[in-house]
Amino acid sequence: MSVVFKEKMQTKKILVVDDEPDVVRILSKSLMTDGFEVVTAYDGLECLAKVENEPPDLILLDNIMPNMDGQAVLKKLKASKETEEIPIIMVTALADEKDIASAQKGGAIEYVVKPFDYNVLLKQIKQSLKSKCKSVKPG
Amino acid sequence: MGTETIDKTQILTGKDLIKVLLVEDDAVDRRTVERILADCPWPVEFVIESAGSLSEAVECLGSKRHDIVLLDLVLPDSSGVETVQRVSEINPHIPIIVLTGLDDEGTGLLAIENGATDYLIKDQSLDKILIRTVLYALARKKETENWWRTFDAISDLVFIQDKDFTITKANKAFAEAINSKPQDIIGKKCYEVLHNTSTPWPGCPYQKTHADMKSHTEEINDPLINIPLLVTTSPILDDNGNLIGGVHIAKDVTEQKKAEKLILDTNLQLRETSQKLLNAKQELEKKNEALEKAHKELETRVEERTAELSKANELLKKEIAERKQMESYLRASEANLRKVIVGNPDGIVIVDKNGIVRFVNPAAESLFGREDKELLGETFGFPMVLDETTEVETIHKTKGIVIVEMRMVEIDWEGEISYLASLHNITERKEAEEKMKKAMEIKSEFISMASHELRTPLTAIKEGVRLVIQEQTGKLNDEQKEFLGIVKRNVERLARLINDILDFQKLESGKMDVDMQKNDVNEIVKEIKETMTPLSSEKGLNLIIELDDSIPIIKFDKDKITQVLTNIVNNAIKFTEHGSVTISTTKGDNDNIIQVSVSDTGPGIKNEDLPRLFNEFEQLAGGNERKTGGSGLGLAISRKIIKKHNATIWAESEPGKGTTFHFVLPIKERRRKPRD
Repeated sequence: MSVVFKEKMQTKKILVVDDEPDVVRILSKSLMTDGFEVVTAYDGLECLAKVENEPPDLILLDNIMPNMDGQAVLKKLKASKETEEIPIIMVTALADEKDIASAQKGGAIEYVVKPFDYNVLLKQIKQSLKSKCKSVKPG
Repeated sequence: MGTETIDKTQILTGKDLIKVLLVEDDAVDRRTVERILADCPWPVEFVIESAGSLSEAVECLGSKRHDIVLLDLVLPDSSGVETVQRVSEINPHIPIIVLTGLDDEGTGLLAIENGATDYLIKDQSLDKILIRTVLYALARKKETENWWRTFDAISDLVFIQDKDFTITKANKAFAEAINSKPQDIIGKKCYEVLHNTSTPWPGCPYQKTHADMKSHTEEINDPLINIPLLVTTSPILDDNGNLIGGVHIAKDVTEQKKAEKLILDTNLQLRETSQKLLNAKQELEKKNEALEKAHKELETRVEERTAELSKANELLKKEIAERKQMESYLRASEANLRKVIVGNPDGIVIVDKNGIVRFVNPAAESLFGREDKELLGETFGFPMVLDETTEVETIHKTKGIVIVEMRMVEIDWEGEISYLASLHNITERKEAEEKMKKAMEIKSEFISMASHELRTPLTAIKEGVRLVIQEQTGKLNDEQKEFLGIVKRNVERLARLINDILDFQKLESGKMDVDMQKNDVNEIVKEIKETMTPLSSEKGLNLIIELDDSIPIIKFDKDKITQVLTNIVNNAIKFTEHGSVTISTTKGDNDNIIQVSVSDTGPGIKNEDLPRLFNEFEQLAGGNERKTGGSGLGLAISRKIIKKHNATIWAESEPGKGTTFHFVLPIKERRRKPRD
């Protein structure tokens, strides 16, 4: 029980954004199993709306989506003072160097190519949340 | 008898009129003398002038010429021998006959000693002997005169000396020769006069004559006379053969000497000349010998040369024949060459150094769609880049743009530096290349798109299966677990295949760059060991690492090299059933490289299969590939990545014992940009 208590105290909200409902479903199930609160969005605009209404601690962001792609969303979020601190992990099928480079330049904390290894992704999520806490404190 | 006497008298004296100076103070005596002379029986006339005193006589002698003087010694103003001396002084050559008194014969003799010619006593005998005495005196005088004339006529220098070297007589030539007068020389010692010495001169031949009373001749060069003289001295002997004096005759031999000298000089010259001639002759002989020798040598050489020449000639003939043969070959080959040039499908253009076209072959004509007469003399118009292949575009008269691959080389064309341009029409090839490029792009895009499209559903399948298999959606029975495991493995395999295809596509299209950063190879190996150990343990294999700690930190792309090493180790584990897999690092043989090796104890690879290992989609037949689920792209990708690092990868194997893969990384970065 103590574990549950601990997790609850630390519950982080993750926004999963992907236009593929299957991927969103599986990721949500996995993340919730691992104790995260999950919010979902299926395109770029919805993502922005969710960020505004339910500000997440981290966003898993697909790239190719209808109604604003991931790259544009990233740009928008990083341009706003309220949202620039939110760590964003790109989870995408685009594996070209130039896509990775532009995402990193745009402020994505990690870039994960589909199909991903969930355990690896989980590690990256945890690390990103930790580093976010660290970087926020001094500021 | 009488006429004979007259003749003789005249001959004796040489005169018919005799001028007489009678010096007599006694008138009686005077008349006596005058009478005697007037009564002269011979056809001789006497002209008498009288003087009564010495002073009168002196006056007469000075003003007129007289032949003889009749002198009374006792005069009012003079007496005795003194009178004779005075008259003699005035005219030394005139005969003086002294008239003395009766008992005074002593005075007469004294008078003769002092210069008188004769003396007569004034008595009755005077009648008889006066004329005779006068005539004799005159005759004697004439004789003396003649002797002197003769003496003086001698051109040689003559003097007579007594036995004591005193000069008694000297001729005119001698006196003149020593710039003197006879009267100044007479009575002096010859050596005083001639040699200015006080004792007889040792060189004088008279010394010898003096000693042996014979004639002697010497050549004398007397500095006082300054002319070369040939001196002959001859003795004057008395009846008893005793020497009383000598004759000294000196002959001027200047001319003779000159002549002699000339002869001598000439002789000398002759001798010199003859010597020279002799020398010249000897030299000539020598030269002659040398010449002969040279001649012989020349002959030998000429013979040799002739032999050589005839040999050369033979060779030349042979060469000419060969040349002719060659020429015909040449003509044939020229014709062949022409065929080659004319028939060459590539255009050939010769351009001079000013860029003017000098030659075009038919292929070039058709390339430009213009005839050679249009092209020749025109400016070539393309950049002249030597020894490099360049692409140029030219316009064909009818076909439009033609793309030409041009290569230019410098050549000698008709003796001038020119350029040969070889033109290859690559228009079709270019078009094909363009098409190919487009096709490749489409393929690349397709693969990229396809793999993207595959990735998303694959993600869903994979993660969905994982959720179920991890029993997060409820408990599973063993059979469900087994089959979902099959699904999971195949999904993973599919995922790897997609990743590999995408990687390979990226590498092939040049879209993958290497990110060269300083890294430690040993660290990578350690990480690999960590990640791969679960896999090897699963199969019961030992994963061993042997690291060389001295290898330096070098620049390479960490992710890509990790990918390569993962791939190789993964393969090694996959194909090995028993034993171990060993990863080792070492410094290469020449300190320029780091070598990474992965050895396994698997079945090994046949030698003939080794070269195909790194080919794409190459999976070795008969292997348990199906079981291991490889894409067939792993090693091809690894090779491309290693190539991007300017490095090499290879494999060694012994079937039945195992396989070792090696790759090396350069320690120093190479400047050259990788070609792939």
